[in-house]
Amino acid sequence: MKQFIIRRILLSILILFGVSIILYALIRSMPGDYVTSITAGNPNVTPETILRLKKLYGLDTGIIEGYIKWLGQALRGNFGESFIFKRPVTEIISSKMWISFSLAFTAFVIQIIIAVPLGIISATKQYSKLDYFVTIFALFGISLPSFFFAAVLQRIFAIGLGILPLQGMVTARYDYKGFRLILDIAKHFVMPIMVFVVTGIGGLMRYSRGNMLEVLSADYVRTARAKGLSENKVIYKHAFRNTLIPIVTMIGGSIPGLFTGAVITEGIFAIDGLGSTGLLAMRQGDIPFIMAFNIFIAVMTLLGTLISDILYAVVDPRVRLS
Amino acid sequence: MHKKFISLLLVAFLLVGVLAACGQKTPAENNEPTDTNTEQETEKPADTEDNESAERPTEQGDYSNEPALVLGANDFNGVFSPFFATTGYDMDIVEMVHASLIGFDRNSQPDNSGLAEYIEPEEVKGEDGTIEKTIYTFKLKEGLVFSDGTPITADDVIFTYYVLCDPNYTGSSTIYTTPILGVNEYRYDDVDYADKVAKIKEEADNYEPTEEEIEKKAEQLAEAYGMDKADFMPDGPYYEDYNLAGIRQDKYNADITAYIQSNLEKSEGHVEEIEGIKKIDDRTVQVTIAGVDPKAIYNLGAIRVAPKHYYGEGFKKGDLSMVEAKSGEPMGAGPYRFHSFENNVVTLVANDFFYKGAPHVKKIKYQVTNTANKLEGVKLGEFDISDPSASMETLAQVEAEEDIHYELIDNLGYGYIGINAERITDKNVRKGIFHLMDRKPAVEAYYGNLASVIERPMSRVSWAYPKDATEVYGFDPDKAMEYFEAAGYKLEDGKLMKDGKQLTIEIGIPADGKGDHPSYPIVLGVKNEGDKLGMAVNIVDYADGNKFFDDLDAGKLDIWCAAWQATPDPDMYQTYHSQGPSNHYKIKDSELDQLIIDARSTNDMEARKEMYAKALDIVMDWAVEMPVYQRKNMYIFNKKVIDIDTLPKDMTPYYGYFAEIENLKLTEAAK
Repeated sequence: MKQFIIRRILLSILILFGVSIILYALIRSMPGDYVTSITAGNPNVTPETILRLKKLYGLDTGIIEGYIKWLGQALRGNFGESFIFKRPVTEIISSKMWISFSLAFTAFVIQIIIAVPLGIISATKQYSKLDYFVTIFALFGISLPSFFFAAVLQRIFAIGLGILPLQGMVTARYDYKGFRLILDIAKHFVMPIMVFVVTGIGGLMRYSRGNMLEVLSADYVRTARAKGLSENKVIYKHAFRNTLIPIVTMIGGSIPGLFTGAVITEGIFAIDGLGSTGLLAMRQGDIPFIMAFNIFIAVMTLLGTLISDILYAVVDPRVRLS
Repeated sequence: MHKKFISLLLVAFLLVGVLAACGQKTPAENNEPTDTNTEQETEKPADTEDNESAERPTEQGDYSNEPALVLGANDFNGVFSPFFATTGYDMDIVEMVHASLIGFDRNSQPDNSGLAEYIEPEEVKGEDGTIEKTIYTFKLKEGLVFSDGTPITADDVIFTYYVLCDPNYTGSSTIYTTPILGVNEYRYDDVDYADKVAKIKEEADNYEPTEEEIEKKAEQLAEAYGMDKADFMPDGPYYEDYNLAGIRQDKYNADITAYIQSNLEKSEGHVEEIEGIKKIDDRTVQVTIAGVDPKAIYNLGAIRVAPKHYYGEGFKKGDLSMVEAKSGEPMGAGPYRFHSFENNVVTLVANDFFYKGAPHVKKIKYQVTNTANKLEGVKLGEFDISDPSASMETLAQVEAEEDIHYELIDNLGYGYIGINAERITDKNVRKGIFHLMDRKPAVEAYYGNLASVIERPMSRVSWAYPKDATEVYGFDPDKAMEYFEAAGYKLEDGKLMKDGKQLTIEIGIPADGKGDHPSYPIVLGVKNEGDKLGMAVNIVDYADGNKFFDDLDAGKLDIWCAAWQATPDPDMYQTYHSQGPSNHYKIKDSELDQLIIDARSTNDMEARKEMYAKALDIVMDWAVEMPVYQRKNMYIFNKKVIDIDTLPKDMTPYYGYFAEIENLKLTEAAK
């Protein structure tokens, strides 16, 4: 086990290295850089000015030289200062990821609470009306574009019924504090969370259903039934626990991904999370931020797969990692 | 054993998450408005008027009953520094927190509304009668203080200039392009800067290229223009103007780049002061520039005076880290004080020391919103002022709302269709193409009443726009045909042919790849009419705007649709001078060059107006730029909250709804 983890971490470092090369090359190859974007349309700008600014922003080097410079700093933990926010990128990421996380995590918990039982029920009653309904609902959620669903929710709950705020994170007009502030924030987060839940629930539901079906056709379930156990006992004592094995690994593996933000939903609801910030940085060619942000996503992804692998071994004694 | 472990693990996961979610909320809770209130109390000027203290929040600092005026704004970068702010909304905050040295009126002419009185610049003439220097004097008004109570002095003004002119300044201000005496010496840290540059120029101008270089350049030119290489060789007609001049220009560019770069490498601190910036007394600053520059007043006067004791602790040449560190917490002499930026809301509170009088509205908040929600947000009362993108549909909706007041203000800029004269070399062909452009229906279809057709390539907002200008190239396919025939094209098999080649043009338009652009119907019309006349027209719709501008900068487009931002001064050097860096039209006209140089060498507005009218006529005759539209921006206000009568009258792009913010009042109902 220990050996496995060490090997995986070493491999992850190698992967990160490759990811960072590809990322840097891609970002530097984008048309238009930050200096162009701040000097565009200003008739006072001379080629000299642009030369100077490019030098100051470190954009005067080639891709390889620039990458080596970036890597040298990054290895020392210095990811630089964001061009557009004028603050260290690590500070920006660490302050905004909690906003993204609190949204995504709440939605995730709700998803699990709804999806796992529904998936299991629909598996035990395969091809029943309930199963069809759940399946249709799941596919509906999967296929629904988040920007469209968000707009529909806004139209219904904010514009039509007027019971939820249209967007934002707090009611700007009043300075709430303490419990009222938490309540206010919660109210603003209802619609974004609904978007996350509805668009994300389908996958988990289908996954639970599929696993349950697989388990139900296993030999030991047949044995249990043959022993004359009640159907409830068969499903909830024998089958259910074994269904949980892949689900727990999947859930564990998803946790790191909750930090990385949702570009579209955050944008529509004006939430100051990592996703919308990443998009802003991308549009303006903020290389230090885009690099750090994407490396952060890469680390989280690798961490997620590692956790899910470890969890798999932990919850299922038959699996031996070596 | 295992069961326990699983459940423990699950619980641990949940706990971590819950704790994390809670942790996130703590900073928001700390947002205790009490801070603001105590601050405001201590800063309250001794002679506060009675009626104002009544509007103030209570001593206990409970702002929950004190509603703020709320604006719907786009994303903030959180850089509210007067030096480093780049996006429009960040700058809005900067303008609320800082005051400008010189004020400008509705037509962007300097007046006395700033921190300093406007004094006419003094021109110093040399022996031969030309103006050698212009001296700008800025005298701060008496008794001015920043919002922390410290007096504003000449040192603060000078400090602001020094930061903006610093060699390591990375912001978007370009004040250093003003010919302030000694500014380049300071920036490039070389006392002999001027001499060295002059020497490089002289050397380049007298450079005699080798045969190899001539050959190589001729090949490049021949390929670029699609002509014969011989034309560009020493015996050819284009040798001097294109080949030789090109080589010399290349040499100059290479040498100057090398010189500047070598200077950037070393910074030894030879030049510690900018010669042209002088402190006369505690309230007076004098800035001397070489020659005349009508734009100088905008660069020098429009600075936001920054408190040296706040931004400039430990400031020395080349090190702006202290200044940058304050970017998130601005402080200045503007009508409002910065309080916080959190949860995507910027909070500002009134500066009771504001030199034009304490603002009536005590608290203003900027709520970040998605552009698509701006109108709905005002309708729902989530914010009171916003700027939805102006379209006919939005206008109709706004007009139907009883409680919304709206203002339409001209946009600073205009839309045009340009032609590259080096790609479509025949003026008659260009004129012919222009006669195929039917602008009015296109603009009306896209913008309705929110834009109108212009007849000269200049924003109508500018004082230099000739008011009596009339149409030059009306929509007239017959006339277009006449021009094509005059250019030597003949109809053969329904195709316009010359020298065995069909007349072919390519039009680039950044219309998101789906024809979403006000000029799109115009170019579509050119294509349709072109088909009828026998001209091949190819429209390239760019989905990626950056790619479009890259191609435009590289001179790869025959014809393109774009828009120009306008600056308060109508100087045309950048766009129409033969050496202008943004001369995408490749217009090269000695008379025009002279007019542009003359017009930027005098401060006489009437004379400049005449010169610019003439210059615009020349540009029109070259048929390289078809002016298309002047559009308007829309601002909406909630009448239930804002006392509309207290908004400024006759707003212009230079004089917006917050120009008289200190006078703005909320309605009785909103208080």
